[in-house]
Amino acid sequence: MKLNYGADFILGVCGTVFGAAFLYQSGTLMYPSKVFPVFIAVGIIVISVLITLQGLFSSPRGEDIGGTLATLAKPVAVMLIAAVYLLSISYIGFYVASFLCIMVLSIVTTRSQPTIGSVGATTLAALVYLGGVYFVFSFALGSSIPRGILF
Amino acid sequence: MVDGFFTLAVNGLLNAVTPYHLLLCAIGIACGIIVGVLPGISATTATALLIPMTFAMEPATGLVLLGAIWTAAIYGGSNATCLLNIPGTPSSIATSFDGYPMTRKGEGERAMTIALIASVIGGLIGVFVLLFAFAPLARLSVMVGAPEYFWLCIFGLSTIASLSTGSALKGLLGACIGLLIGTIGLDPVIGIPRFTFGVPAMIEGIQLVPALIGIFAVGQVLHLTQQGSGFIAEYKRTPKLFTTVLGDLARSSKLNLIRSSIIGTVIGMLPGAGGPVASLISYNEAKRWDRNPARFGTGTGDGVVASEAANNAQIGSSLVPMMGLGIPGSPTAAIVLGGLLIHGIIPGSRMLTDAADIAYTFIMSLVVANILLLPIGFIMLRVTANILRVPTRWVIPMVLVMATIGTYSLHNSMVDVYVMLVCGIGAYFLARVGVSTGPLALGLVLGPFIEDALNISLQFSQARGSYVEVFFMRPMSLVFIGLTLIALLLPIFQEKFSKRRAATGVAKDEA
Repeated sequence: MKLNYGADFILGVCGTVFGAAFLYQSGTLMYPSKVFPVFIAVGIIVISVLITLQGLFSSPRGEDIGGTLATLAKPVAVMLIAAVYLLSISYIGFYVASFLCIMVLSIVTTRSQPTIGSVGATTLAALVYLGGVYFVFSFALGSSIPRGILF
Repeated sequence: MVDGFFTLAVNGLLNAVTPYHLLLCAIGIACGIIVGVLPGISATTATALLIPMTFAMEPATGLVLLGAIWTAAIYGGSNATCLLNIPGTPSSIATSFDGYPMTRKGEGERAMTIALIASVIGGLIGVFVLLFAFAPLARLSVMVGAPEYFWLCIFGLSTIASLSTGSALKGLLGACIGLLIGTIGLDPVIGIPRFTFGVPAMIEGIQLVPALIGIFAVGQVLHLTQQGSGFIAEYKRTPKLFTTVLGDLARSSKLNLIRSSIIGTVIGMLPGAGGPVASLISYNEAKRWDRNPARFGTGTGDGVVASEAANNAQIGSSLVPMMGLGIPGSPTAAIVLGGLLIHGIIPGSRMLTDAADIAYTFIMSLVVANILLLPIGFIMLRVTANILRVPTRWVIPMVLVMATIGTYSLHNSMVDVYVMLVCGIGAYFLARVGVSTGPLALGLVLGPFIEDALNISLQFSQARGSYVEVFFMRPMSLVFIGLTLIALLLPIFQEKFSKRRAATGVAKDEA
């Protein structure tokens, strides 16, 4: 499935629904706090309708906006890993979660098959990097680091 | 009186260049650059973290350190922006439009050197304005009220067309989404929650910095994953880099440098406007007045010059209302103000008489900091450029980890971190359908300003019984309305003029 003018149509429809929902919500607010959101919601609806019409009536020119859905596979995998990483911080702590995140993401995003050597190099890089993060944030700046239940 | 001014300025300079102050300044610059590179740790955070350290110092010494960190942190933000497309500070958003494309073309070191030189020149111009005119300009800056701010922000929104890559309609949609995100949370007028959908954590609203880190850092992580290349860009060590870039800027970017520094200085003087607004407007003006605006966004040095000169010029000028009237022009200026108050120094017109030695030492130390930034910044950018040698498979997780800890450290809140991820994923999908991140960020930055200014102006209008008088009859408002109209109409006339000139050229060739 090619995402070009089809994407414009989807964007326009989603924008219109999104704008309409916010316009409805804005309408329930009191004056003057509703003035600004109403203006923006109307703006979103008008622009989205124009994008929808553009998507409907413009002839496809083969413009490559988003590539194919196949190219989404790895970014979606990274999104899921990032979500798991952030949620796991509350359980296993920042440093352990970050170490695991670096290891997993470096394997997922590499083009070649991981070898023992490459995994070893990544382990070393992760330890050095997290050591640097500890030095800057915990030691030098004295920032608070998210802690988990276990660590 | 003039003699008195020069005596104070010279004494301030002599105090600022003592070996102890020079050493502190150099340490402050190095720390500031490192802090600026880290997303989430802004100049404001760095000065806030360091202010307790200055309590044990002499007032002037503490201010020398804070000024050096502030100057360097704003510049340091450009390093991560140019190399990784992740603005280290919100002031560097506009730098990403050309800085990162330059890196992709193998000109990463050149982009960072341009940013360094533009930052220093912009910074010096801003400080000289502070030095020579802070008392009269401070009085002028408070004449800008809510209606004027409203029109200034509308003028800022006229930059959308410049920031949109591809469809202008999608750029407008992105800006509107950014503006709408800014309305989430407590209503600024009557304090009721809006668009929180019953989630208590949303009552505080979407904070600007976590959202921007998400849009740029997480968005960049996903883009790099999609690209799948082994390295971000080719790393080429450029010989005679500094002299070449300096020569190029002196030959072809003089006007852009001066114009951008002036824009940054003027916007910096307005309390609250800040570096992001200054750099975005400056970038837009550089593009508008360029002979070939199409080259902006593709990796031109002039885009980096415009953004960096403006955001560093606003540092000095944002101190104008603080030192002249005791009104901080930016969050960092507010922290410096707090530092002054703790030392028993009351900013305002009497500061020139009661604590003139400290005031002039601080101002002259900013001049020294800008000059020292040049060699220290250059050495550090040569080191920082080695990030391009790191494989992408390591850069991706490391950027995600840095974005996480940077965002968390803002308010020690995991909610900010989740907001960062959601904004990043949203920005990535919007970018895939052609909605660029520039207008989205612009909407986020300007949204709270516009709403505050609009609400106050509406209440003011109700009290005065006239909307026209409040919105359209104030002199400074008329200036900003005029500038907005020029901004909107000029491209149309420029296009007509260039078409006519092209047609005349063709006719001459045929003849």
